[in-house]
Amino acid sequence: MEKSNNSTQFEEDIRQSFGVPKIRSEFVAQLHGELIKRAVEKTPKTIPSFRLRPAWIIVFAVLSVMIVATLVIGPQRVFAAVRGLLGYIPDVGIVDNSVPIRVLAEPVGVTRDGITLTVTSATLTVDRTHIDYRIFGVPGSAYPDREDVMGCTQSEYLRLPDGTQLTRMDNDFQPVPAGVNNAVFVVPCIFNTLPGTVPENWELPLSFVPAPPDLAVMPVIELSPSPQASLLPDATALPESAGTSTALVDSAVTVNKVIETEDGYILVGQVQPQSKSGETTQITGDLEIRDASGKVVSYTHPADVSQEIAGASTGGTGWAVQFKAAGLVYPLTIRFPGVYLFQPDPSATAGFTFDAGPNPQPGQEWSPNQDIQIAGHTLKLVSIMADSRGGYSFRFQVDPEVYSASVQIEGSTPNGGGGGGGGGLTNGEFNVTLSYAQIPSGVLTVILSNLTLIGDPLTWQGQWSPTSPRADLPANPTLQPGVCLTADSLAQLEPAPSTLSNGKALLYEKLDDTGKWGLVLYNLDGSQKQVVVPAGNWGALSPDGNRVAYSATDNGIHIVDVTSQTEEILPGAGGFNLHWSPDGKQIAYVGMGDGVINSVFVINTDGSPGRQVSTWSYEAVIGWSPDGTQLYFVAPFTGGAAWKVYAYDLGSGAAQERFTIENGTAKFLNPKLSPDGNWIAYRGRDNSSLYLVRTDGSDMHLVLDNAGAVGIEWSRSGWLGVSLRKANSDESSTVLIKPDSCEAYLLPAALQGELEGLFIP
Amino acid sequence: MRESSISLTFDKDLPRTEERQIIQTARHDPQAFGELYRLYADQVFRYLYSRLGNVHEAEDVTAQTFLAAFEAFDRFRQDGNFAPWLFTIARNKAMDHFRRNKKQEPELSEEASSTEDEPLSSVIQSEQALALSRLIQGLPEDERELLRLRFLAEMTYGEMAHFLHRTEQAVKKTIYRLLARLQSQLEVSNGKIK
Repeated sequence: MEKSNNSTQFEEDIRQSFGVPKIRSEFVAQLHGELIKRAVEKTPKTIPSFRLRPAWIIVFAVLSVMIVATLVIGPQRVFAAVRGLLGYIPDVGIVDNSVPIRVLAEPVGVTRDGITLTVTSATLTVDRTHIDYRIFGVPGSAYPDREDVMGCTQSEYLRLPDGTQLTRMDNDFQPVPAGVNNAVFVVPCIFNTLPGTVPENWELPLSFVPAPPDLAVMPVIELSPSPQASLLPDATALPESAGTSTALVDSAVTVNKVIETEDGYILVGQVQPQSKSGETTQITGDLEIRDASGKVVSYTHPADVSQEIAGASTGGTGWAVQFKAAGLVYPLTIRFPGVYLFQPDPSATAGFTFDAGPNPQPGQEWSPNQDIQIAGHTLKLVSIMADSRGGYSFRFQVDPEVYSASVQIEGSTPNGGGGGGGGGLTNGEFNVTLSYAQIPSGVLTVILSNLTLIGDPLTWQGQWSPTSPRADLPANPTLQPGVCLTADSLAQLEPAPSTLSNGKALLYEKLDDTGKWGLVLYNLDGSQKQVVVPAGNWGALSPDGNRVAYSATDNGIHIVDVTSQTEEILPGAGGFNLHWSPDGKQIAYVGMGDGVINSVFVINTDGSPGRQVSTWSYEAVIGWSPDGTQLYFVAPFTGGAAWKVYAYDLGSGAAQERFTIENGTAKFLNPKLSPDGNWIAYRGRDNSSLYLVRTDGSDMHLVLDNAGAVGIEWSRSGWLGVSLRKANSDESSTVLIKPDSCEAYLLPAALQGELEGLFIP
Repeated sequence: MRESSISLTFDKDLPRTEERQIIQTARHDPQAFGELYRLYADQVFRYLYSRLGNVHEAEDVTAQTFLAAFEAFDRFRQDGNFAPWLFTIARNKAMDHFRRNKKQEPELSEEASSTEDEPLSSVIQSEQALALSRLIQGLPEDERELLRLRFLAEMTYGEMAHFLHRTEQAVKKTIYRLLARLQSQLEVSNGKIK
């Protein structure tokens, strides 16, 4: 692969002629921080560990300077004020409740060329207008057939009778003025569709009326911080960490808003890491909540108050959690883990030389494996690589105390750079990348400085209690009918009996030695580990458990014979989300083709031509009926607002709409059909719970409540296997459940990763 | 090429191999998207600045680009074509920006480059580059876009082909011819100056 860095002076002159200034490092760090924040919010259920980047050091260093007061919360010192101005409406968020709220008089929909656009609800407050709308029926051919092409991105808006346009502000629109009870919802085009492929300029007239008295608007209690403040925290030993040097920084976690929900609370707050002079701090994980009895409180991150977090402006990092409150003992203690970072000797430097040659090329790599001493520590320079941005990337292995160091090439001024890894905080490595207008060549002297070490671990904490006890909640947690497991009850599960040990589980997991991910087959007792696919994804175990189909890195569908390890490639098929037919002769998958993006196809495993099942986009296969005559799949309303369930008859080629899943996650629904063809299991909107619903849409109920559900697989014998991601951890566990009886077992800890296949005879 | 003084391995595809690994990690760990951002922040900014001609707006649209890419990343499937995908978003964001602001894309000019924040002398450092700037200013937009993609976005020919819906050979041929023409015109221009 050639790159443009085969730089001649002429090419460099062309770059210069565009007059592009150097990107500001502050901007780079700021945007990186925003992306990481969103990534943390996006990470289902838990944030295993923050990526540790220099940008975070900058962010927290700045914050530590900004923070001049420790805001203290606690049952004795909290001043709570119910202002009565803010209210919380589920799925809408926190709104200004000071003037009467209006809502949509009735849903409005219009269908054009088979595409239906429906405004299902609207909530009008003095500060914003929340519109819920959904679109269904956009053919795949309307979208670019290549992912490198984007279609229309024009944003929708509200047009008032006087012609005023109310545009988007984040997720909502500008407020509709009081007294204006009509507006037109205008959608210039359906997002990402190509010009001329589907109707454009959609206009739906909306009417607004006063909200009904039963509209659930929960009061938002705003907490004012205590006037008591101190510049520096007191560090004391953390009781449960006796024997370690973990320090506890009290009162650095604050709660700003409290919402009483039907079964618990939503808390919105901030963590404000602080550091002493000469030190910086680093948050290293997501928060943990324990009640006064020491019990860990499981929580979710509510998406509808995300704007409150983003709007946190008093310094610190915003957070929001939602949890059930039955049986909790107050106060709750909220903790964030972190570490101190410091430079043992800011003046210490070290250097080495390497010969890059006269014309270093992108991808060219040197492996010096050279030990470099600086400030009493040894940094092993593992490799240097010339990159495609006119610079070099230096990779170091370090001892557990080292976090990072600065790298410079003597005599050359970089115009950009970056780095990653947190040394001893991550995998004992960090890297530094430097970019130059003209890549330095020849014998280069490289200087290391600013060695940063990892200090003692610390914990930022705060406490919170409700101002008055809830009389409306049961004294102890009670499971809803049909719920088999919660995050709290996992630890009580028994191991699977030996009668199940002859089964097999296919997991997509991080491979031990390489750091890469692959497909691994286990016996259910954890024995007979077999790496079936060292580089592939979307595995599916054949009905007899002897073959694994997977999506290869080239997007092709490959089949591996587990016993012989022979592999075949299905000609002409490319995609993911693979599902074997009951007889093992066909595979349904989601793929791309002429005019379709992520639609459902069926391919014959003997290599003969298959068929296209659907023509919408971004679909997911649910599974085959037991007799193999019907294939169930879901098609999302645009944006994943809901999912329509279809049954495709392979005999007639007709797809019949069955019902709509309203409470599924938009991100990875992972629907799976039970082997008797009666139930569909899928992930809930919290990205953590698991629901079951019958294939006619009836009897929808929760089975795993906020348990971290990710991988879902049924065995032919009716066991439901689910891989569960643990809160605050990289770890996961796998459970087997009989949903009708809630008989459940915990599979051995060796079965880590995402469950992608289950075979139990 | 002279052999390095320390052990040398050479793999032209290594940077993209590394990128693929990051992409695969990011599918499971959204925070790994930060690594992709690190890889491309500079190129995206340069590309957008060259279209918008203003640091503030280029930063704004760069942020929009990465945030949109982050939100849409779940739907990105072609691991080997991240750059074309990302720059398609960047290009569309730039076009949205023009539509919103109802203004024309700035011509590549000394004026565009010589804002108060970024004086021309600090960024265009040679007479050669100034002369080139004038020549490029006179190019049709599609040819200017080719130069932006190649020299600011740092795309490979394969990536450009993917981005532009053309064959790699066609892109390569066009770029070579364009560079040859510019070089020739530059020599004529320099001759006139002399």
